[in-house]
Amino acid sequence: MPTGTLVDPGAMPKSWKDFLEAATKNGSIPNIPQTTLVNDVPTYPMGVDPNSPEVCLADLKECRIKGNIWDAPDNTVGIGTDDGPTLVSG
Amino acid sequence: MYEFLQAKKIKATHFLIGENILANPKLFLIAFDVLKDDLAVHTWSHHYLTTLSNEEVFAELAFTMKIIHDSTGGRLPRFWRPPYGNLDMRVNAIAKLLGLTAIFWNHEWVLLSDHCRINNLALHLAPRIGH
Repeated sequence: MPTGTLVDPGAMPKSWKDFLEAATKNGSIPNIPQTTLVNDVPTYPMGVDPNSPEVCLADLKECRIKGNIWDAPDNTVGIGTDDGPTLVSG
Repeated sequence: MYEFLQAKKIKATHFLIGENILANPKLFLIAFDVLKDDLAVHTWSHHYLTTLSNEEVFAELAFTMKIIHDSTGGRLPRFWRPPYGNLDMRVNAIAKLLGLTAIFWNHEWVLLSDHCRINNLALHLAPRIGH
């Protein structure tokens, strides 16, 4: 689906903002630069290795961050739908 | 598609866009009340999250969790799927703060038209689903 209208982080309740600020201060969020889209490809500034374990960009399919799910258990199929609900969903 | 999933008794997890839940509340309730499927987060507006600031990432995830929570009598999603599969250690850490585990995929069907691909999907998958 095409990208929609970005949510406004300023609209977050104060408790959410405080929570995020505390997490940032205690080092819970790695200090990795934001990417920019270059021909629709998320691209880091020079010198940042997307395949390093510190960055581990999933898009290149070479790095999987532990704790997430990639494959269904043996002999099972997991089905998902993305981008709903839309009129096509119904 | 929900009609089809219901008719074929296929369980699915729906990775939902917050904006679309807001625009299509009745369809949302079909997935929740009728299909009784799992509802997961696919962010508010389908951005590449690694291009966004920490605050923007947090808000995109949290507001989507909130609308699902508020629309289901308090169910909090535990899973999400990054738009475009775009994820790095920074975005992952923020999602983990919200208790979210990312689910990726290893096969993909693009629906060119509602009917053609859906029938192919059923024939391919039905014997393995066990319903």
